[in-house]
Order: sequence, then structure tokens, then C-alpha cells
Amino acid sequence: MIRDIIAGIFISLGTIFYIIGVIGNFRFGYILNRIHAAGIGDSLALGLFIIGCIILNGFTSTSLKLIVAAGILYFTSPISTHMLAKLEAETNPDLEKECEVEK
Amino acid sequence: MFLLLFLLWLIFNGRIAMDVVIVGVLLCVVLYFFCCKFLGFSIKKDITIAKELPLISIYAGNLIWEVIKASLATTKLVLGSKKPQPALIKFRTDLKTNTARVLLANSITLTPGTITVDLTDDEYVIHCLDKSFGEGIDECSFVKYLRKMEEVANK
Repeated sequence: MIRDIIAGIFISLGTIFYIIGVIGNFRFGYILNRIHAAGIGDSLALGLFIIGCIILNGFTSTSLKLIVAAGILYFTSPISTHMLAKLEAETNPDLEKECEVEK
Repeated sequence: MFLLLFLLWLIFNGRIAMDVVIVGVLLCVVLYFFCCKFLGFSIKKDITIAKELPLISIYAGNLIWEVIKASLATTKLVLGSKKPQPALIKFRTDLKTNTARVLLANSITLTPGTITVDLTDDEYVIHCLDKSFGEGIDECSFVKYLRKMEEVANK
């Protein structure tokens, strides 16, 4: 019972952060800013979800698999983010209009 | 590395029995030999990584703490009425090994609010959602731990 409540708290916190990420996605106009908002869901919300699921599951092999999944995602999600950002920064000719560029 | 492969095998199997363990050990020996021969792993490198383990766990804890802090700051910007001032900043690092540099780039991208746009040799190009996120990024807590790790590895 208590375990369910704690897991519920974690999963609802994760959902709230995902919703904040979606709101940010709509409020910011430019792609590089939108990536930051999506990054909240990528890192913090994902971690909270995984912790919630592990607490719900108890210490079984499924929990260990969840930890492996989280580790793999934590290594791979920055790479996709970086590829998107690099493509935008290198191909956009009006980059100075959207953000300050340090020479 | 061998232990890591074996652990992964056991996790994916989900149970510990005699047949699973024997097949796992055989497979891991073959895989480990393949990694040493073609992917540049060696027993010497594994021992260095084992020595760095306490530092790596401290680094992971620090990373989680930074992610929480940065997420809350980004949340404030998303929900607040203040318009963020995005900026592209450049800085140079004094980390020497490629592993440490890539780890730093990965950590910077993982924390919301900062993205590594480009990394050539020792120059990073970082995109910050707000200018304040970029201040002092070349001396952030990640760099300190990575420097310590390099010292341990070079001993």
C-alpha cells in the first residue's frame, strides 16, 4: 500500500515534468529553444518514471532490466539531441537573429 | 568488461541456473576475446576503469543532482513570463583524453538548458537557453571530477 503511494508520487511527478516539457515545446518558437524544453522530459521525467516503476515492481529481474534501459537511454538521448542541434546551427543562415553568437 | 557482459547476460535471462551460467561464461569469454582483438579493449584498461569506479559513482551522483537543478531552472523559464535570451558560447577545455571530452559533452547535453552543438579538438560550442546557464561552464563540477579521473588513469 505505502509502496504503491510512493511509486504513484514518482510517476505523477514524471508526468508533470513531461507536461511542462510539452508546454515549453509550444511556448518557445525556435527549434534550438524547443530542444531544451524537450530535454526536461528526456532526462528528469524519464528518471522519475523509471524510479517509480522500480518501486512498484520491487527487487526483481524486471527492475534490473529497467535500470539497464535507463542507462542506455541516458547515453543515447544526448547524441540525438546533439545531432539535431548541430544540423540546425550549421545550416541556418540567420542564426544571429535567434540567439547571440560568440565569435 | 567480462563481469559487465556476464551481468548483462544474467539480467536478460532473469534467473540463475546451472545451464544459464555455463552458456553465459562461454559466450562472455568468446565476446571478451573478440573485444580485445578488434575493439581495442584490454585487461590493463579494465583494471584502470576498476580503480576509477568510486570516482565514476561520485560523478554519476553529481550528474543526477545537476540534472535536477537544471530541470527546475528550465521549468521556471518555461512557465515564467520572462523571455529567455538564448546564446551560443564557445570555450576551451584542458582535458586531454577523448573519453573525458566526450563524457563532458554528453553530460552537458544531458542537463536541460545546455546543448553541445559542436566539439572539435578542445573547443566546445554550447547553446544555452538563457545566458546565465552558460556562465562559468568551463569550470563546472563535471570538469573537476573528470580531471581527477584522468590523474588516476595516468598513474
